[in-house]
Amino acid sequence: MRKEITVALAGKPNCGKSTLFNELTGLNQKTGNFPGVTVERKTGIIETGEETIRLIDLPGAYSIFPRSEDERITTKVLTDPSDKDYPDFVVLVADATNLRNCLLLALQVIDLGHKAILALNMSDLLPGKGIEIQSEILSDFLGIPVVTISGLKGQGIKNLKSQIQQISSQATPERFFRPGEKLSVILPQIISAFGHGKPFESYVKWASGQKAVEAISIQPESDEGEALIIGETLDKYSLIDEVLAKAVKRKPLFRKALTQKIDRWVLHPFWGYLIFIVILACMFQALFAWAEYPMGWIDSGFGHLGKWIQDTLPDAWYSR
Amino acid sequence: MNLAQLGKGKKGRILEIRSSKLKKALSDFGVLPGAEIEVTAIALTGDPIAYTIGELLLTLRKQDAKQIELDLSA
Repeated sequence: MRKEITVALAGKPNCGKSTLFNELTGLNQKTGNFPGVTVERKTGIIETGEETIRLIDLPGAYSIFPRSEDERITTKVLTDPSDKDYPDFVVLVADATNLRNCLLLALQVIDLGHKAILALNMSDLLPGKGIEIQSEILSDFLGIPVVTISGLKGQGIKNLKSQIQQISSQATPERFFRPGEKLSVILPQIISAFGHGKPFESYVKWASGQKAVEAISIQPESDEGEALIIGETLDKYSLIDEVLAKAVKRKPLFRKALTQKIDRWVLHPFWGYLIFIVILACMFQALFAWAEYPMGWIDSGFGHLGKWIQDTLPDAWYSR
Repeated sequence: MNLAQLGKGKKGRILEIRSSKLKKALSDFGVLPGAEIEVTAIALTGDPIAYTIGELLLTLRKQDAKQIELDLSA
């Protein structure tokens, strides 16, 4: 039998997961230039020489702690080993132009014990933004390989595919989970309440309220519980800020980015609304007035075609 | 002074986020006390308001922005 491995794509909303999914599988799943397009998991198959790779496209999430139904799917798949899509390997997709808030989920996934790779997507946009990323520093810090890719332009995809096929057999330790004083007190209770899973996995299950457990002295929705969860997240962010200060260099840009220039007009409290109304009016006009011309051409085109066929064909029962 | 009172193009530093729900949501984006925040755009009706924090463009309802206390001295 062929070996089958499950690979999940995870990352924040709108960082190009679905574009990469289509690039890797050759499928044509719907992508959109706004967050939240993927609201359920999607599966694609990649056949390689020796194995079948099941690729799962997960809904975008900034954090493993869900705040919406689609984020809940992502949390479930990544924390529940009995889920049919629980991955053997995770491709962490990051928006290279805005790395900071992509890395929280990366640290959480590594702490969950997943074998992973970080794919810096949209890397073709970096030079234009004056950003330089030293991926070796990131890779040393995360303890996983880091590749630069562009899903849209198809750059680095081959490299990523070959990295997926040579999955390292070693599991990553919980590198970034450093429970503070208060959390350390209740952590043994959490671990025993959520099976004998890994500490961080149990912690995530507790914090995301997957099961209410009376025996644990602090509930996650209480003020005290929320303060603990916020504290743990902010601890991860201080690690992220530390490594980004070393790994990312920014050159000051003299010209403003194109999107900023456009935003100056379309987000303007007066001109923005005017532009919006003009665009809508144009679409209305296009549908109801300008469309008459091509409709007329099609109509008369078919009329001429019919007449030509009738004239050209020999006189018989079917041409009358 | 709270974030909703800040005028367009003005900057401040986050001192405190009063609602714990909002604090938790913002912590996922790495927005924490001490971060510099700038008003980028205000809707015609005055609500919602878009802010820039580092590389992040964040749009908040006025009701939520009122929960964020600012420090203007820095």
